[in-house]
Amino acid sequence: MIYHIGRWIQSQADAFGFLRLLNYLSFRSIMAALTAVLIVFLLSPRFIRAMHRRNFLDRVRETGIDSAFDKAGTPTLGGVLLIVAMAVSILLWGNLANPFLLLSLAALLWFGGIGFWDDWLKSSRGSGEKGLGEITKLVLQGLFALAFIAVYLGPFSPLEPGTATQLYVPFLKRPLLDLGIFYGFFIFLFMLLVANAVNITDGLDGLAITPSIFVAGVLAVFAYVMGNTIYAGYLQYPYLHGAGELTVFVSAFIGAGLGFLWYNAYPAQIFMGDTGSLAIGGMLAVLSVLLKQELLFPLLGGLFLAEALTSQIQDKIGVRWLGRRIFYRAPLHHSLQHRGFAETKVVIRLWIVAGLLALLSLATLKIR
Amino acid sequence: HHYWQVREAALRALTMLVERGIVTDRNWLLKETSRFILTTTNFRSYFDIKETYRTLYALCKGDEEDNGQGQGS
Repeated sequence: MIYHIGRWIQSQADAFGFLRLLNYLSFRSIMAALTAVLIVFLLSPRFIRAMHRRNFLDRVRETGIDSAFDKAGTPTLGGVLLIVAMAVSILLWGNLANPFLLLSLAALLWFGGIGFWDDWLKSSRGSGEKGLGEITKLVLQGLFALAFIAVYLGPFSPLEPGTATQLYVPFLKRPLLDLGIFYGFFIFLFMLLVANAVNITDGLDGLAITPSIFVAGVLAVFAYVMGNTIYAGYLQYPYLHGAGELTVFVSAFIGAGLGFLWYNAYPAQIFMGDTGSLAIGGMLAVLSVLLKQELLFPLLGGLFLAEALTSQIQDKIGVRWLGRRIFYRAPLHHSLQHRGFAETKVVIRLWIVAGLLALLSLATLKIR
Repeated sequence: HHYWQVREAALRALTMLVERGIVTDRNWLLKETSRFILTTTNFRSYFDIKETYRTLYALCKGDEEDNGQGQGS
């Protein structure tokens, strides 16, 4: 809004030339981040009290870890704070005519809505097991993925037709192959995997939000590079006209995330719930697809994938098929806790791992 | 020992030995156990307000049961 109003005012008179500042992605990104932090700080205390009053509290599932019971009664639905802060910040500082931004915002809101419904049911039914069914969640997520694919591969795609279906691999300058229509299947599976991977990772105070900030930060760098003809040409990345606007989007997330971490760090005063974790997962999935970095995600989001794969392998292959555990415990953070690591130790060490993976991912900008 | 659980179990065993009077040379014991590495990767959190609430809850529940028994008899 400020962006659009500023540009209109600029066009009316030269005296308002100082508003050219709004044309710079860097300025709007910083302002988006600061705005989001401020909104989270302003809303959080009241929101936390409101969740207490309305009894929207976390319901503990039996994990065999003593510290898990300390979390019972902590307000949930904190993802609403993240989404509201981001949405307001983006509305203020984003270019609302940019298709990259609109698609990412749609993902945030849709996946956040699924998570909200799940959290609402769990809270109202008084049990962590009685939210939306697994199949229902996957179907709802799949609906968005299908709609996204239709836009992404259709005439309204923000990418050029030749670029949209090409598969880029880290460390290689040229696309590996053109998947054509099969790219749709690939994106469908990718989006479901990533959205749920972040959801599974959100099990300890602060565990999901900080690695998400790292991943999003790296994607913001890619967005800035690929949205700039000079940098994209120099680093031999495909130029994606308008992708730079995703820097503003991600900055809003980083600001909202830092504000949320203020309250979510151990011992957490509020949890993001599925509202936040699914919203973040959906957002990261869409960002990766839009920036052609799907195959970078196993490295960049390696922590999320490790958490998701250990959980799914343990459950689907181990318990349900073989009838026994494959891993000592799953997901990964539970395994570390059961081996005697305190929650705070697990969280900070996994942050370090996520940070290192982010650095390695940034290195792929040049190592090609 | 590398694992804190083993170190803790050893200290607990020594405590039991002292309590039962089997180890009498306590100065020697203190000198030896001062070499134990007490840093650990785990801790148990203690929330004052939650503990106080649990005590109050248990007291109230206890009173409720006493009153219920009194009324029943």
